[in-house]
Amino acid sequence: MFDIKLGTNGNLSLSGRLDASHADRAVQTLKHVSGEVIADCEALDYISSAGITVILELHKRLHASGGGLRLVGMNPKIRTVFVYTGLDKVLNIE
Amino acid sequence: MPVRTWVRRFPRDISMLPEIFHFAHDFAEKEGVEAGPTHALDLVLEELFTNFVRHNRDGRHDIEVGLERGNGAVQLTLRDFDVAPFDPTKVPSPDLTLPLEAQSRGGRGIHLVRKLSRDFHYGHRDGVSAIMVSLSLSPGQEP
Repeated sequence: MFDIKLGTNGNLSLSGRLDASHADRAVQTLKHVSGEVIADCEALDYISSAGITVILELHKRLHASGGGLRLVGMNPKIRTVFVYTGLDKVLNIE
Repeated sequence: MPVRTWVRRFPRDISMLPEIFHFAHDFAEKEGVEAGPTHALDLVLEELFTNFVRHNRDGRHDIEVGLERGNGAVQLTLRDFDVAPFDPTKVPSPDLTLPLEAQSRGGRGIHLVRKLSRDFHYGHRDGVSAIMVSLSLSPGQEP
């Protein structure tokens, strides 16, 4: 199961498993996010390349419109997936 | 102890992923595979299954997933039947030194498989594509 909660302050909370079977729904949910966004990844258990692409496209869109994306609270196994794909150097991960 | 091979076929649809993970977790629990390698197993299974679904678009048959524990590793075999050859081991890895805008969107999944696996092989015979991957059970080899 995967879930995105949109906070009233525009920030996000991601939980569960962001795999290819949930990627399209995630893209639809994230369409309306804008500005400077903090995504809390503490409850994110799994992410694949399909999920990484969702995050990457959100980062690009926010960055292009003058905003930004910060990813916080990642557990080590999620962080390693970003490291293996070289995106830890590109994305703002805290 | 004799090695048991776990084999199941899944409809070629991305929505099957939760069932594939359930199968893999059942295998991991019964075969005593720890959490770290199980996470790597999920990643490799997803990347390879979705690769078959997306690249073998004319495929009509279910995709076979085989799992086996032995020699300090988990052996995965995925088979796709009655399809043209497509060798994922030949897919180039993305150039991670390029600026984000210049990087291609594809190739990250197969790049992940390469990073996670001890061996990664492909074969095609009599219309059957087969991918064989070995995942180490040693600590520190997995995310």
